[in-house]
Amino acid sequence: MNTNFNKKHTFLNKIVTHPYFGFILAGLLLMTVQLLEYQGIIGVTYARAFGLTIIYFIISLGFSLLLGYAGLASLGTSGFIGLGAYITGYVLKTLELPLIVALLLTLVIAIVIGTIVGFISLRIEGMYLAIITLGLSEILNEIFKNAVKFTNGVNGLKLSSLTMFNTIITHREFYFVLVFVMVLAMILTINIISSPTGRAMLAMKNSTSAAQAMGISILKYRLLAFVIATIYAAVGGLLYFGYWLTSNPETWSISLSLSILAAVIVGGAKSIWGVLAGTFLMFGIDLAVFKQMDFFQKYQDVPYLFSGLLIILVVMFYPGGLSKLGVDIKTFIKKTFVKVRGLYHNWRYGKDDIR
Amino acid sequence: MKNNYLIRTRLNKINDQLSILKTSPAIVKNKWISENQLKLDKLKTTQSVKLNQLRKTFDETYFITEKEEKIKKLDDKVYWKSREYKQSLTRQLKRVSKSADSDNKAVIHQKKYEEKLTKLQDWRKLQEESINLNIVNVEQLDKSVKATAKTEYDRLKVEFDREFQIMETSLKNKTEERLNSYLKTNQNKILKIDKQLTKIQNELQSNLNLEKENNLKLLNELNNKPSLTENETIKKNTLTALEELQSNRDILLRLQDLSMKFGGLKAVDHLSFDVKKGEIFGLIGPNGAGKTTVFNCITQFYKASEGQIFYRDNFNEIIDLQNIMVHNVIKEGIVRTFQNVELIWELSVLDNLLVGAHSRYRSNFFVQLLHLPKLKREEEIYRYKATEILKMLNLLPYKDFPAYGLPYGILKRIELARTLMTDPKLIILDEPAAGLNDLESVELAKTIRLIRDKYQCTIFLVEHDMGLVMDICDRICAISFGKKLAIGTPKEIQQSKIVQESYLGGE
Repeated sequence: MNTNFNKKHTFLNKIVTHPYFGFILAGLLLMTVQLLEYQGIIGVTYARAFGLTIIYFIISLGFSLLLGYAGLASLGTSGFIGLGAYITGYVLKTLELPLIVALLLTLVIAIVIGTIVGFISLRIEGMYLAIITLGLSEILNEIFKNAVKFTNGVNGLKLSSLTMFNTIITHREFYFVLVFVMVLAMILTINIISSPTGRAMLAMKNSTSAAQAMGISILKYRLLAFVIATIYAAVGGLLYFGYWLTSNPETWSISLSLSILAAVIVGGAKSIWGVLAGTFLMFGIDLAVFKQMDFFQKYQDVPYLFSGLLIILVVMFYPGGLSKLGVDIKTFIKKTFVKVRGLYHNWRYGKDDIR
Repeated sequence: MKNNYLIRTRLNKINDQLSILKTSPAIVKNKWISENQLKLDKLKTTQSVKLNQLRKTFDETYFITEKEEKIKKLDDKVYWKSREYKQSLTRQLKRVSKSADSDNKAVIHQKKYEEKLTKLQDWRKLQEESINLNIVNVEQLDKSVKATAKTEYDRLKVEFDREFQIMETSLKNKTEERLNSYLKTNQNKILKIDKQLTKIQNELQSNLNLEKENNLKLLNELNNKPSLTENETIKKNTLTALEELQSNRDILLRLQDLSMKFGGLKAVDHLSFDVKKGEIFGLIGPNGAGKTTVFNCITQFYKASEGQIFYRDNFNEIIDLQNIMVHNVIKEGIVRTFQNVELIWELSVLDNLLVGAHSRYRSNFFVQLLHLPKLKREEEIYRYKATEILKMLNLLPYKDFPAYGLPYGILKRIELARTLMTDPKLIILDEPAAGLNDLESVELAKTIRLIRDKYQCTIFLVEHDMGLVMDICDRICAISFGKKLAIGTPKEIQQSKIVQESYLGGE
């Protein structure tokens, strides 16, 4: 006899417990932000803040796969994002080709660069790998500044309007593309995590010798991790250019790489929801909350102080990140509920004695 | 040689597919039968709920139990109410004790409390009377209802039974049909693969024959030469060894003149011995004798500086393990454990076992990216296998625990379980009893024997616990400073003077 009667096997329950349900729900919720903006209920800056969060969230997902699962540290993310953005800009502005071509081109170049960095990571590990990727991204940044023919130099690349299928698409419509790509990225990420590939990456992070003894090729999975991370970053750059229609070399500096690293660490490197929260704290909250207040308009650098403080607090007291904080809060609430109920019982009926 | 290697990898893949196809029907059948059982149980519960409602109406005991229940509830209520009064009384007495005429006030409160209690008792009596009256009334009224309910109950019972039987048979037929179609498609696939298999095997055989001929020719040439260079002597030795191994089917692994140098230090010095099929072979030696280095050379973590490691692979062909990459050694059927437990701490115990089956997964990255049914089927199969292994090693309660923080003895057993996921031919255990207490090591000896008998594999182990080694090993090789001292059965080793000297010191 099976004893699973109490569990409900209804259709609704099946849908709700499916791992994709939460992602699609999050996508729908984020779409309502733009719909509210259409109605004029919230300002443009709010919608822009959420758009920016979504773009950096997609990039951070790839980075969390690299850091949290494969255990490889990289500081070259911003260079790869910039590459994606400039390729799209070049394809759209000078070549005047559709966005699909830009997407294919970014994918190809991301795969090539990912394999190169992956090969480097076979020889070098830890801090040194981070420094080498940092150097790579700085080289890319110098190229963005000096290759004026392609990138328009320090002035930045600007596009007046984006056309897709013979219609002009503003940032309002492009927001829905962002949300769609975000949900897709979340689904693909959880698929990778819960498949043999994700387990192999974790095995590689924990013990290379055990991984090799179990038939996991270090070469293959390091390359794979870097290629996935660079693809996410380059697609993020493409979306950035599509959304803001500008690309400045200043944006793709080391501070962006560090912010992404901070977002992943603050959120918790192994949790998708944690990374979402972390990216909102690092990128979205500045536009959505601080820029609206008069005090922070006067002193514009104060928000950076907050984010720095947050990183210190998380690293010192909560190495698990926001995702662990969420779990802890849940257990705390449950425990306090039980405790308060017990106290009330004692007050009303007296302490337990033999009945 | 290269060509043969490619063919062998293809053969390995095909064999894996075959094993999946052969094992999956049983798993699928179990799954479908359990699903059916679930549906039937659900139907039965809904039916029994209805029937029980009816039965309650005509059961004799119903009224009595109901009465008892009601009175019990009443008692409960009275008990809690009285406790509440008492508590409030104590609180008020406390408050009053500080005021001027505390005694008078206390008496007043006491009186109030007693009044309340008497009121409560009165209320209880009233309630009890009403319950009794109500039940008498209902008893009289319900006699007619009972009779109708009984007939209804009988009718429904027969109907439900019929319904249940119809559902059971229909489900059975459906699953049988599904299973038949599944088996048919499976059989077709197996036939197709078998055709491929014979084709490739023929290819391999012809290749091997050619190679043999070439080897013989070379050997003859070398034998006839008057003087040989160093390279040529090595070649001659390997060729003669190959010749011998091909005729002697018992030997699974042979180390020949294996040496490993770390700079000037010779960790392993011209070591050679055989490991036979299906035996438990022990390697012993004092600390720093180079036992773990031998293991690392066999599993290709180190590349040996001299010598050969011959191994009989899945197709009875002799290969030199040094031509194989580290992560491909497991595909030839060699699995190892580590001296200090190397598990994946961030994964659960079951997932750790699935990592052990990593080399068996046939679905590529894009299948994994999209979670296609192929991956789900494979995952199901290996999950089933992992739970079976966990059951065998008494680890099932720890299935969903993260590996981090479990006791050491259990971690050792998990590592042993992980090696079994790929149906290995040779299991290499690096100090399996290190850090275990006496009881656990006795249990370990049992499990090692069980594994050898159940999976029909060879076990090769390094161990310092002499009791365990002498107990379980069929043959033992003793080494010291990388050189072989003695080889033989445990008794022979115990009586050997050289071994005693090296362990206990000279005269």
